[in-house]
Amino acid sequence: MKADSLQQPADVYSQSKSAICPEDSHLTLCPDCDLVIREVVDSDPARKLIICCPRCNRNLREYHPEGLIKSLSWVITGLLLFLPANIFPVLVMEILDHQEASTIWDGVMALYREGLQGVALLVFVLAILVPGMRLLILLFVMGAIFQEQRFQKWAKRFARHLFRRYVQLGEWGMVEIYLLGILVAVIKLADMAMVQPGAGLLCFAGLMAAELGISICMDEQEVWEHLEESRQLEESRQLEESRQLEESRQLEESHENVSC
Amino acid sequence: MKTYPADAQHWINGSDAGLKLCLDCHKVCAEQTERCPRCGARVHQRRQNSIARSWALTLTAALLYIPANLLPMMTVSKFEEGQPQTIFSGVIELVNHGMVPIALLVFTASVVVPLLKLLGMVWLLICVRFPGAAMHRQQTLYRVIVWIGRWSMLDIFIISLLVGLVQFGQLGTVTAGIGAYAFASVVVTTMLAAMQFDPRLLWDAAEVKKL
Repeated sequence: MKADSLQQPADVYSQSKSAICPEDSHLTLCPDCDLVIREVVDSDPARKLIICCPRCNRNLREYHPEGLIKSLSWVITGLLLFLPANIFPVLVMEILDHQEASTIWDGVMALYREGLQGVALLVFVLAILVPGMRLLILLFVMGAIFQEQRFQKWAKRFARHLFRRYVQLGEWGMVEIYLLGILVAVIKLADMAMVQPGAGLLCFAGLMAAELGISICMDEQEVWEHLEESRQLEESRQLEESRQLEESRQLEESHENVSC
Repeated sequence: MKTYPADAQHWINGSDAGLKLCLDCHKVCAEQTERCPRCGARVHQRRQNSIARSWALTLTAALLYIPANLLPMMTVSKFEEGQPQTIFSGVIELVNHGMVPIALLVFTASVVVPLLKLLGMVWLLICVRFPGAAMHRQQTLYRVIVWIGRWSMLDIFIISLLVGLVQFGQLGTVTAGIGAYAFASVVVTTMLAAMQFDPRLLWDAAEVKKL
């Protein structure tokens, strides 16, 4: 562990039950063992922070300094690489004078033609659709955080909804596994023919690096906190507005009464 | 391996304190909340019907594991001759070609991991029923199962790549077999089974036993 990082087992909530209130923002539950935990957060934002459950050792959050802006840059990198990774061939193969290049999409289509439509759909979803969707969702969510004023209320709600989907899709994006699959395929084919990596393979490896960067830099809890903050701001503003409306109406009514 | 400390008495579970956790955004909610105010997900004290769903998916996967290993995954033919390969015969062929590390990798990802995942899920589901003291070990096992589950897709991706790439007519073709369907289903159902399982039930069960 690096010197500037801090691994801190979260404090256990040891007070009496009656003092526990769900509004307390430092209070969390361990998602794996349901322990009530009070996060004693080191307030220095320049330090890396890992909080884990004292009972089952689950990582509750991993805070990186400047994590959000770093992950935004990774998201943009990933989106830039996404298109070439899918357009350019990942592998090029040569037998005698025949040459065959294959993109990820070609593999999906080939499976489809052979009557394995379900498997083709699965490969498409896991290797192309979910990774792309996740990057797009993150771009939108980051936009809602960094350009808060420009986003309408419905857009912010949509951002929360999307980020929830992002969390749920976590397991189903399999870029790194596909990459390993490419490597195994190359070795398998090596004695059969000349196999060369295509430009798509490089972009695909970059895409994997971007996903890794996002998973390292982005603290999901931090994103949720930002989204929650803007929601509460919006709510209090709405409350204020409705109160002003009520006041002005009462004022008008009293005026009317006087004029009568 | 961590041991259960003796001063564990003052540890309070969320269910005792009247709190629920939203599993999507990890917001702490009061007991009467139905939908998470932050992300809109339904909030439950524990996952709904976790054990029954998990059992059902695990057994489905166990049944599918049989055709996945018996049916041919793909056929590699050179000069129009070639035998359909199952997972296992594909591994054997890799060994015969002297590619032992790759053979080991494919063997681990396609045979060992799904089998261990199935056995692990069954073991966890039995542990919930008959609680012991080894929650930490069970928790670790659950995390390993969740983490490792996705890597079994490796074989499916390899087939997809080979089928798309090797289309040289007489010189050599690769065609996918029906076993790929069964195998992909095994991977997906075991992943779903692991997701449906609620590890908090392990801790609940241990608590009940202690009382």
